[in-house]
Amino acid sequence: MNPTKLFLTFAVLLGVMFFLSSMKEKVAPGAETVTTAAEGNGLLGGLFGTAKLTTVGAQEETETDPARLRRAEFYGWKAKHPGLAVQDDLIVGLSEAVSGYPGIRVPQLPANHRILKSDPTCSPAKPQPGDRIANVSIGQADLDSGLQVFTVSEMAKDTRRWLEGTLRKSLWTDESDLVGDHAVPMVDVILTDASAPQYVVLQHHRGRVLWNIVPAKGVTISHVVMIGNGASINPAPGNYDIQHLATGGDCVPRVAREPRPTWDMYSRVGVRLEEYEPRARAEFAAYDAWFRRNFGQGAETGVVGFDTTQHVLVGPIPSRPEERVAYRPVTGATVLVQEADYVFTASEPERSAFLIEHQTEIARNAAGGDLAMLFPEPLYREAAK
Amino acid sequence: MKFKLIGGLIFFGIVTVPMIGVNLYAIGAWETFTRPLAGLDPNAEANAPPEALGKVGKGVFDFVHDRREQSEKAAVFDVTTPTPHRAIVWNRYMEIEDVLAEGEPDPGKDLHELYILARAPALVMRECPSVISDLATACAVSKVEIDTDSKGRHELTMRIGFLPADPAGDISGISSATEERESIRLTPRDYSARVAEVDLPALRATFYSEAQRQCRELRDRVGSCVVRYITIDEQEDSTNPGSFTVSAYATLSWLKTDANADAEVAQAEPTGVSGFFKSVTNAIGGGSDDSSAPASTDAAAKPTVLKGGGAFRSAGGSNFKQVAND
Repeated sequence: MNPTKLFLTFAVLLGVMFFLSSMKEKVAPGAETVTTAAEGNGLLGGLFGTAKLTTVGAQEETETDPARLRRAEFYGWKAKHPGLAVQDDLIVGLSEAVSGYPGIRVPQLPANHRILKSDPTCSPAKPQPGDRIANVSIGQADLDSGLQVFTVSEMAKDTRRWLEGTLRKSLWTDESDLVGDHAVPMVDVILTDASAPQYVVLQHHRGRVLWNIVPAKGVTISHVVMIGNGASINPAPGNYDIQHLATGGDCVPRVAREPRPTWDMYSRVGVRLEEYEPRARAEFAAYDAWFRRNFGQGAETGVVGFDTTQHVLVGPIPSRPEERVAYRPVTGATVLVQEADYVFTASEPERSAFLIEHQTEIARNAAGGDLAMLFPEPLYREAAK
Repeated sequence: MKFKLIGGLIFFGIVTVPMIGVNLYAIGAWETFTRPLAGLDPNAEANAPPEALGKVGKGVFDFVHDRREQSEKAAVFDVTTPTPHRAIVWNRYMEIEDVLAEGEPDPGKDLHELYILARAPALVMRECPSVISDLATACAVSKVEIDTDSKGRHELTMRIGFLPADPAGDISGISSATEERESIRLTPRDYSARVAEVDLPALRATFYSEAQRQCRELRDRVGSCVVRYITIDEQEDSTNPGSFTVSAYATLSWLKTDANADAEVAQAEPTGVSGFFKSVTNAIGGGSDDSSAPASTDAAAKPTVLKGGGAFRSAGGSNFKQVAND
């Protein structure tokens, strides 16, 4: 075979590779068992992966392809903004149900906060006859709000990290590195069921979360109970009570979800399922029993939410664009926060200025009264003699 | 024919290079292809784009890693310049009571780690006079870290940087030589030395001088040697407060320029160890009793146990062991 022919063969092979690899992108969404509305990205989106290439552009805000909005993780779905969790474990684009979403470029900063103590009775108020349970249960949130909440222990860890980093001469540090980021991730809870008063049960498994309640016109809320440690809320206006129940201690069992076949636990190669599944089932059984006792229905009945969630919808998806729910941001609102050592609704510069001064003072005391003791000069033999 | 070949090559370039690019782009590998390049220091030579696409397969990280090894080696053998890669690594469990001044109030559990860590540099500086008496000409805090285990015990790791007092030896072939590391056990093989708290500083001083002495001997044989690490673990005996279990070893680095040098080291038997034992015995005038040391069942490998449990020779075989990692 002469060289030209050889090269031509290579070129053709590469061309085929290119064609096949682009096919793969296009086929993947169809293989997904769960499909919902509009797969409207078209051929180009499939070929070049629109969502992957744009950053936080308008295009991503309107992404609606369910295959791009979530992926299976070990303990359930990990949704990605702008994915909106809906009934029956499905996901749609946020823009299908909500109008006027401000985007995620700037974290939503509340104007003020009030402290909400955990309910020592450990029991939620009884749902009234006619109430409908709006059952929201997530593993964690991951879309940062502007609210910052942390403990002394977390602040001490930030100071420690700064000190270790400064002493390790190789790592450049600055006093602004004293300040840690403890943004509370938020979850939008869109309520569209106007047919009955909503008894809203907001459950999360780990981390902190700021629940942002966004009701559609005509929706009434009869009660809100937050279950899970480190929960804050931007409540919707209305005449109802808000409770918080701590989990994991003597009060309420830790929030758990019933394992589903879509969890990556069941498909990941090499996982010893017997090590994880029985424990996950046992945790769910304990939580489910508690839930049934208090709400008269199973913890998975009508539940909405994924292991990692940014937005959830309880109720029907608006059928026409003009019926979409107007977004209600956390920005400028007064939020209810569980007791913590530090709560900031201040802007980043204000918070940093305060914390640099505060943590420097703590570092000084920790060093025994003199900051210079943290960074002593080297000792040389000549100087010592 | 020649014309055809050149034509073919040009065609190959025109067709395949964009094809490969487009493929990487389309299958999402573009990110993994570009990110390592973007992460490189813009001033580093390594940032030059690879000449051939074939090099990309080798991995840009390997390339950078090699360079880092090179500079680390140069830094370790440059005894006039500080480097984090040459250090005394001193591990100790500490409680808040160990660092608080007389009558100073407990700052609260959440701040214990921070307080212990923040007072560690002062602890290091108190150790420095001992470090610069023989081993080094300069001594400084290189790094301090604290880790709290599930039982709430705080393990403090202090890395003391130093400039070796001895020269590194012949380092003329450093660019082509490989760095070899030898591990020297400064405490017995099967168990650790037990000493009273008051004797710890003297014991550490013997570790420094023994590491330095062994390094001199190695340098005499192979041409170069630098004390790279001296690692000391001190743990208070929970059943016997005030008594410490200590284990220590030194890592010596030398430059291997020819393949036969390795055999030379393996044959070499360190000398002058008895003198060291004697010095330790003198230095630690009976810190703890001999009976506390468990008896070795293997007669051939039985270490020489000293009164006071200072330092030990592991009889049989070479003292020099290759360290896989440190």
